Amino acid sequence: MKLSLDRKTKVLLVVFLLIYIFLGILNAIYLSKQSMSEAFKNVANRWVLKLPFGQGIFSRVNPLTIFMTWIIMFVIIIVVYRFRKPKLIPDRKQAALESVMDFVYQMVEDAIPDQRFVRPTFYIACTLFLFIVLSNILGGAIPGISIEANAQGNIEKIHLFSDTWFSPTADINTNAFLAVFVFLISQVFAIKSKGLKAWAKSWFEPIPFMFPMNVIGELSKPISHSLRLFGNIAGGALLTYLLAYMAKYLFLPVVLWGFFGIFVGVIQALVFTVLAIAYISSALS
Amino acid sequence: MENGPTLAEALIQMGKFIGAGICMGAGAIGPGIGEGHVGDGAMQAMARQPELIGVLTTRMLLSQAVCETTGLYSLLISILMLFVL
Amino acid sequence: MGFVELNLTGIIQLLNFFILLFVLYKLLYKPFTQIMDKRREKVESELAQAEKERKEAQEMRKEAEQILANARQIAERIVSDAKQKSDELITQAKNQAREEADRIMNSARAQIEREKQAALDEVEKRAGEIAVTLAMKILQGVLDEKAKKEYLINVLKKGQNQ
Repeated sequence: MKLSLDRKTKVLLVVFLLIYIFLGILNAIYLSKQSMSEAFKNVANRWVLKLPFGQGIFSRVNPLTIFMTWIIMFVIIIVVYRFRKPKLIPDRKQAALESVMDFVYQMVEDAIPDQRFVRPTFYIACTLFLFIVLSNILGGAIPGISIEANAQGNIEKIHLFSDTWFSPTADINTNAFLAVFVFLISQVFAIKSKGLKAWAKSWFEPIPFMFPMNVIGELSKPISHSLRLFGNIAGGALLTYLLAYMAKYLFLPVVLWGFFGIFVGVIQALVFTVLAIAYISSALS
Repeated sequence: MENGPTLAEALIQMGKFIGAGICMGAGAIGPGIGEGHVGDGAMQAMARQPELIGVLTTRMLLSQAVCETTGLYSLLISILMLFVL
Repeated sequence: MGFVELNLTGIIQLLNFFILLFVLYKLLYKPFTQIMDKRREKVESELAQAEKERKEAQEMRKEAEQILANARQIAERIVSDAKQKSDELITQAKNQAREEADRIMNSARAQIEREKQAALDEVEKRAGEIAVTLAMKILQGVLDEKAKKEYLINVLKKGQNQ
């Protein structure tokens, strides 16, 4: 593969590399001072903001997740805004975007038996795919600002370029609610497609005795669906941090980011999308 | 030894570490075998029909990613044991 | 318990997801599905056009073939007509010629006959005259005038009757 970069991009890349190496050396000096248990003390804590209203878990939010989600939404919308008036004969960038959408559309069209629900399922699946891919890559492959919190959820330290950005999909809230949304929308589609009676009857098949099994089987879908993505991304981020700490954050991370960020991230986004389509289609058939 | 951990705390720590190690180690067996099976089948299929390598690779990675789920559950549990509990 | 805690964040994330879905629907999916439909329509219409044109061409070819066949038939008919006519003409001409020839032959034959007759008559007359003069010259001395005349009249009558 031959890259053809113009002068501006080259200068930008060189500046970025210099900043990266400088910060890496600073980080290496800084990180070698703290011990490993000290560095990993707060690795599983999240910054939690307590709202003045509400009570219990409804008064607690993870601000980092929401900020990162907004950043990702902003990026997606900025990119998409350029293609709001697509051309009949696409240029290269539009063709790339179209090929991604066509890929998802083909999967949806092959899986969904009812022709009326192909388009809505495609909208949901494509949005899921774009959002999760971008957040996985951002969370796994791009160094940025990360916030270290203590066990109570207050900010303890702010790290600059010593860790990747926090990915929204490394928060169980995002994944769980997306998976529940997929589950609910599949049931809604099933009711619309089959009618209320046939849908209710499908819970008691093949024999009425199997009703609890069917309920457990259906409810286990969103749980495994969400925990799969969460485990991959959170575990990947943790492993990246661990190994990057061991290499004093100099050169190894690029390889790790490539593996955990891009490879695993894209595959897990694809898996999440494919499973969402499969759940919807299994509810429809 | 006044400021050091008590025996109960030390035992708890030991239990955490041993539990996390066993959890991760035992939990990695199943996905390893499962992914091996998937890779075996995909390799045989690729050897039979080399023209389908692109499709088979995608499907293989997808099913391996699904196989990995149980391993990730054990990873989660061990992280919870080590850092949270 | 920050690591696996379910709290209000999820609901906000869901709202964010709905906003993203809506914005993407407005900005991305609607125009792209429209353009894909348009593209498909265009391809289909072009295919239909091509099919139509192919059919038209086939029809035209068929028509041309028919015209050609017609022309060939007409030409054949004309040729056969001409042949027939020429045959007719030839036979007619032959007949005519034969008739003419017959007529000419007949007329020639008749003329010959006539001439022959005339020649015969002439010869008879001459022969009669010669015979009369000869006989007169011979009979001058033998017979008298009266008998001569009677004899001559008889001879002539005989000649005339013959």
